Amino acid sequence: MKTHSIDVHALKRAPTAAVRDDICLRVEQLNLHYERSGNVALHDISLAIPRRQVTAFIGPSGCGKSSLLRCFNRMNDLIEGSVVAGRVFLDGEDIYARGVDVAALRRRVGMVFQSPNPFPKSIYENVAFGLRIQGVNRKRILDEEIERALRAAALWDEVKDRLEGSALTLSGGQQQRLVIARAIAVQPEVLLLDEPASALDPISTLRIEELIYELKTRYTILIVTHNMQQAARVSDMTAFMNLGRLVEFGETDTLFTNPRESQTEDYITGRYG
Amino acid sequence: MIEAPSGLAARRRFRDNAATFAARGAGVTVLAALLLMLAYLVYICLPLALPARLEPMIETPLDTGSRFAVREADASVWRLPPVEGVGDDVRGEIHSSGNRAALALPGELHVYDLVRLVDIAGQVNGVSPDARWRLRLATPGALRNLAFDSSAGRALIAYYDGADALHAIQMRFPTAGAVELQRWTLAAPALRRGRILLNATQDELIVVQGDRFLRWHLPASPGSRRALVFGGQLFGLASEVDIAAWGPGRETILVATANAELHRYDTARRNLPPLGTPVALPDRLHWIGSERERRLSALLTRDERLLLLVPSSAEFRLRAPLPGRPPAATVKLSADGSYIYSRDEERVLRWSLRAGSPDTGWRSLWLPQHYGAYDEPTHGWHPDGAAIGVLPKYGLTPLLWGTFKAAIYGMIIAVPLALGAAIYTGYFLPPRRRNQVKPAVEMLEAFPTVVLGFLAGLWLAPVLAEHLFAALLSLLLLVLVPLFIAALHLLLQRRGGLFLHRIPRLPLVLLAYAVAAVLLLVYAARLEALFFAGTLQEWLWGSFELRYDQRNALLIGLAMGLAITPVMFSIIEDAINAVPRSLSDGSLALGATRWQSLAGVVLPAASPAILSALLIGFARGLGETMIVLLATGNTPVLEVDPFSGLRSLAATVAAELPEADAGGVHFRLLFLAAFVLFALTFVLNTVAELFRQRLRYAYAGR
Amino acid sequence: MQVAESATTEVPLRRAVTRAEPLVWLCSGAVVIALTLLVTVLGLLAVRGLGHFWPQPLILLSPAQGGETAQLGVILDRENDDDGRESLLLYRGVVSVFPSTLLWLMDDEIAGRSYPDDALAIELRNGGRAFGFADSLRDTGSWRPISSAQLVGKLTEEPDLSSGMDDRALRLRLASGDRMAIPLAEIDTAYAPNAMSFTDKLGYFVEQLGSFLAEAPRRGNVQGGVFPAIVGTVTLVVLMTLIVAPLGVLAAIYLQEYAQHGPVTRLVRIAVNNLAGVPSIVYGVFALGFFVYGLGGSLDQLFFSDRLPAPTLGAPGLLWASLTMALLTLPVVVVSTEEGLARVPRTLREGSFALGATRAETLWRVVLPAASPAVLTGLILAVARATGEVAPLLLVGVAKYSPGLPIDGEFPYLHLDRQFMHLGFYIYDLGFQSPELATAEGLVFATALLLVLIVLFLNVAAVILRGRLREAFRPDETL
Repeated sequence: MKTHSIDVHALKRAPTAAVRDDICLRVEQLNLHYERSGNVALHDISLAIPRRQVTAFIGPSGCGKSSLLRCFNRMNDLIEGSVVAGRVFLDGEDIYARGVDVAALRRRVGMVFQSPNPFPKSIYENVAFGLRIQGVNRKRILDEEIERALRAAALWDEVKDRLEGSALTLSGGQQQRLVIARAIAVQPEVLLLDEPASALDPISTLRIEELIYELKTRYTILIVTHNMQQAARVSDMTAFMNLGRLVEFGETDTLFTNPRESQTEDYITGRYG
Repeated sequence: MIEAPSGLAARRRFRDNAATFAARGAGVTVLAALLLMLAYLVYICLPLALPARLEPMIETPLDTGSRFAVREADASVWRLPPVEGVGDDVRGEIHSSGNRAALALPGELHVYDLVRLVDIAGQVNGVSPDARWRLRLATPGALRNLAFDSSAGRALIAYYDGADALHAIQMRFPTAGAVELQRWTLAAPALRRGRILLNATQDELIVVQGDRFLRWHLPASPGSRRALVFGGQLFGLASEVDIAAWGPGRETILVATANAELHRYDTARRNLPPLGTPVALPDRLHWIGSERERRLSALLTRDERLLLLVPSSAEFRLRAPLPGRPPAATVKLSADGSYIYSRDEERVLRWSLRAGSPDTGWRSLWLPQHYGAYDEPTHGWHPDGAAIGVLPKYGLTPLLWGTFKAAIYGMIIAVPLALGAAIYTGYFLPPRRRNQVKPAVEMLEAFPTVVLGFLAGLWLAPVLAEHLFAALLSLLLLVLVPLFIAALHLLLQRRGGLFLHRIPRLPLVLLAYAVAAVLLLVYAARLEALFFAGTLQEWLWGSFELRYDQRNALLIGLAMGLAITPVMFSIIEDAINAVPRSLSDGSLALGATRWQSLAGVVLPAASPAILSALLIGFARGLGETMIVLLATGNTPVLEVDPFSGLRSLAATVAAELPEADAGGVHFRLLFLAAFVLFALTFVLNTVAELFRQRLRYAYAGR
Repeated sequence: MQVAESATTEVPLRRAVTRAEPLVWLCSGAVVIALTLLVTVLGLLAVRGLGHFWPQPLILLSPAQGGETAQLGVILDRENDDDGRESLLLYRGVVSVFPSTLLWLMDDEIAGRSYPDDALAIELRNGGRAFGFADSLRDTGSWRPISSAQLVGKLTEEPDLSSGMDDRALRLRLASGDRMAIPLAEIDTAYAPNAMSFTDKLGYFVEQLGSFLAEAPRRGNVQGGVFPAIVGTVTLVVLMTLIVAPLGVLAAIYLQEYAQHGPVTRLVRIAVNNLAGVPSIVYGVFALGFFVYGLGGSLDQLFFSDRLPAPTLGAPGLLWASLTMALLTLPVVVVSTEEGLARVPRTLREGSFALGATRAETLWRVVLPAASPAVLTGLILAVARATGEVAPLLLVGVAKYSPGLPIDGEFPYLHLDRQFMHLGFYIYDLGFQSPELATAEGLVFATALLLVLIVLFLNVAAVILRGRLREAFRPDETL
């Protein structure tokens, strides 16, 4: 299954800021806390995420996995009083540096949320949304791109006859794939999936997982999940987090079969969480 | 790549910034609008609170030896032409009033029209030698205590001759250049050389000397020679009289005494009774002047200080050393009170009196005042008195009273209605019915207040006046009928029948009300005759001396109640409905009845919102304009009972501001009224908002 | 234990009373009262307002012995005195031979009452009405006898009969027996109400209703239509909306989307809440002082100094009135829009941001469209409030009678400096300042009905829209 083998220990240490082709995102000493409550959400996180692979983040609720995910496209900026310290490199560029165009960053790092959030517009307009704000307005290009995105999200056959219908009439699973299509329509490099299947029934979940497997050939995918089986099924790499710290990060097979840390072992064997 | 903005990205960023700017701007605009409103109201009202000031304006040097007069209307200085045969060294006594001046010389009297003929450099104006009348007097000796008053078509002169006889001369000027004279010699044996006061219509003459006075009424028709006379004593004087002079508007006589007190006497009554308590002065006076159209007097103390006093409220509006060289030989106040001028041997000094409103102080606005012609201190709002020749009254208390009265009567009707309807809709009605009933009740909001006011004033007022008993009885029945059904229900329940449960409540109550209405129509007149032996109005008048005004507070209560019910209903209903069902379910599960869980759990939880609704409703009632304007008689009275009228701040502003002179006292007072309304509603609404926030936090905490 | 014993006798009754729920019955009574009030007031306005347009029968009262003359007219009011005697208020038309158009007649002054079929009501072009019987007509040079029915028919068949200035005239026999000639050029319409069938009356009713809506007032506002007042009200409201919509929506966006939870936000919120509670008359006072005398006066000196001392903008007028109304309704729009924005789920915003949209794009393309029913609701409520509000207009801009509409074909088409007529003010003015209230009362009721219907319609629209909005974001629908 795995395309390359990677020096896992080197990744966790993240020793240099040098650009490496096989590393997509690199996190250095990332801290996140909230000014108002004083809560520390992330504590000294450092890791490097390989390109075109699926990296899963697992851990008990409130461990900070979603917060970490939202650091990659700076969605945390929208939360008042959140303070980020440390650095996150996307292809060697610090996304928290001054002068970074957050909107441009978010185009490159797409995100799909826990519950499907299609806009109350037509299916077509949902997928076209990202393209339109990038200035793409020509009907022919839009049509092509939308078809491509919907095909890539394995939704095309189900909706091709009702593209002008409201997105809210789709089923939950379809909505979630629509949202994925919407995200990949702007051709991002990275896809952040925040528990994408938690609100779905098992069949829809399965389709999403298949989709993730197909998409990783083109995108670097980061997925947060509380479902360990799901993490084991879809991911190449897995990070286990607890209480805002990165406990263990490694190849999924290794982490699930032979965890180094006792906390990880406790968690995956179901002793807590 | 993330940093480099292409053309598109730059455009997007610009649009984003522009949107941020616009939104922030709009937010600030809202805040600015409120602050601007507040600031502007204060800006207009502020001069009311500022003390008066004197500003030196013009100093006119006088040639030694010439005779000068000052025209009252514009405070201009005039040189009088030399008199043949009388040397300039004989100065004589000069009095000016209106646009005329009188010069008293031994054995003769000159009256001048101060009419501009030629422009002369400087501020001194000359009088044509022709514009005068020379009256030869057959009376012996020098003229003393001359009094002179002139108006458009006539003038009145009064003086004592060398033998202390009192003379009055009335001059009429039917056409330019012509004059008709009428002379009286008045017997004033007891009062030799008293101070002579002439009234504004020049048909009355009052002489004051010591604490004695005499007053003559001079007949209007030239043919009649008889003058009515009345004499008496000025009561309450504890010390020797220094000066007696007219008070503001010649409504009262002011008397300053040697123990530095100022007494007021009411000229509206023949015997000049004292008005109010004497005002304590800082020093003895040697001059008093009063304005014609404002309640303001200027006093000059013996140590040459100028005091501006509102005699009716005993408020000193200015205490300043009189600028210029003491002692000033003459001090005068111009007719409109905007200038004060003093004259000594060498010059005439003129100051302008700067004050937003020198005649209205805190006390005169809010406390009862003892005005002339009134038996006791009263509150009065009569701002356009000048138009009918009396002094204006600026008492805001009756207006504030009326404002609260209207709002309270509105609340008496609206609170039970809104609260009851909201409780029933929000707690007892099933959701489907609730979604129909709630918007229907809220539709009451759709009646513009002008329509409610119109219906109340034109349709309901006569109905109410004719069927007062039935109307009051029906208000009572509105409460009694549901209680009667409850009692009936109880009775049936005891008998084991529970059929009332199967009928929906609302139609049943409606039916009962309809039956009650029919019974009322049939029996009301008979009941009224039975209880009150006539009509209720007659009985109220006979037993309590309560007069029934057709447009009264009861009417306002009904119309205003309808107007403020929907807003209160809406807030209370939302609050009751927002209390989680689980709370009252918990209570019900413990065996409480529905009413008990409502009263014990739901209402306490919703109480901050209910309180806030009451405050908001009350604030609405305070500011309501059209209903009060249309459905009351707008009479500024201080009555509590529901059958008398009222006048509110808002209605007064609406009725009077369009006609008020911009920048005048009346204008500013109406702004003050608006500011009072603003402040009242501001406080009420802020408190209401605090209550609501408390409710919000209470639920947020759960 | 002693307590319990004494309580045993009381508890059942008390429990029974609580179970009978007297207070619940009282509360249900309040609901019934509120709804009855709504229906009653609407019904009253409808009956009296619409009744104004229904042709009223003409009654002929023959005098009792020793009485004056017979009277023909419309009964406006009846009253019973203490002895049960009835007296009638008769409207006799405004023909000059009568000393007064209104007459109170006691029961015992009347010998007989009848409704003659040939009694004729004539609407005059100057706004008055004359009642009588057709006597003769001079349309070709000489007087020829004519019956009332013939005259009505002739006037309907030859609509141009009463146009033109010539000596053609109608001679009317009055109830007193006197004859009076009326030039045909002065006759607007003539009808015989007592002879009219129901359909005729309905036709007359529709025609009257039409002219009420489409014509200008006549004869000191007591007759004619309210068209200028409708135009004035609509113009005012449209201008106000143009001002308040962007400002209110932007302010709400600021509060909901941009503002940090800081002191400024709190102040703005307090400001909005308080602006909502400030009495409308205070807005009027502020506007008169600040806009009219202050701003208007300064603008006059800057731009219209050639017209001084006659004020252009320094006098009450349309511009200042609509600004005042905009300020007055601002809180309504802000609160409603804010509520709508708050209902837009956060996930939608995040979805948009995650696609690389800026804040403005998110707002414009996602949030505002989703909140648009709320925005619309707010605007409609604002319009409803402004339509019914009169108090500030008394100070800043309405006219009793304004010859020029605020909009016309004359440059610059929209006259911001003009005074204008307003439905609400029309009611106030006609109901309380008019010397001829008895004849104008029907007109006031009709105007009140019109105003209430407009405001009611707007409120219902807002309720329906708000209902839609709540449906749209019900969480269970999206899954």
